[in-house]
Amino acid sequence: MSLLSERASSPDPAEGLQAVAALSRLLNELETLHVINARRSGWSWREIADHLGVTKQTVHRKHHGAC
Amino acid sequence: MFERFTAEARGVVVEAKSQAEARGHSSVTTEHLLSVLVDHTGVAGRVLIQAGLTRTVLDDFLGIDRAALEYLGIDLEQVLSRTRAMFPDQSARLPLRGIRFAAESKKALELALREAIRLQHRHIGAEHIMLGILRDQDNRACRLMVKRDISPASLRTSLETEIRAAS
Repeated sequence: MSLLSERASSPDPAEGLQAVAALSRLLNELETLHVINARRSGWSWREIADHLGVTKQTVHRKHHGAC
Repeated sequence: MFERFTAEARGVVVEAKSQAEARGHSSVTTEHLLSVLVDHTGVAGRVLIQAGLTRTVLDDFLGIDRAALEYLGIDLEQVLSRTRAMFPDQSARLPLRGIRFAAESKKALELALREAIRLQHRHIGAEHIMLGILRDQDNRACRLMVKRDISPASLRTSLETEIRAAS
């Protein structure tokens, strides 16, 4: 009984880290798509950066190749 | 090159692509090829099973993304289907959908051709694809084997022995 509750309260680090890595890959792909969409809708890099909550330099560096 | 592939070998390639697609992966790697070959009834599949590479083991490796996201409460299917609905015109550049063949998979298929030539076989079958995968120790499939303490080199030897015995 105590074993079970210990397991439930401490998640497996490997599983957690893999999950976060998968989420990060998914996030990157989604971000690219939405940035492409914004650029096609005529948004400036500044506007995109503001909505993403990052600097204009960051968003430009990450996405100018894709847009 | 593909004209020398048997229907069976073409089937392996097509199935690997749909496996990658179904899992939401953006490219077809040698792991996907391996995952198809493990179900193969011929020598290629037999050798893999004997080495301990079963369907369950491969699913564990390939299923990571989807299962990992599920662990966080995220349904990858939902995310993908909504995203496709939002950007139907962008499928070509959609990494989620516009699935491509990883360079290592192309290399494995080229090596399959070379293996067939070396063995003086006129056709390229599933077993040659398997040999092609095993030729390049740096690809994901071979790295997966090494992680499971399976030596790609010795797998090659047993596969070749089986192929020669069968022909």
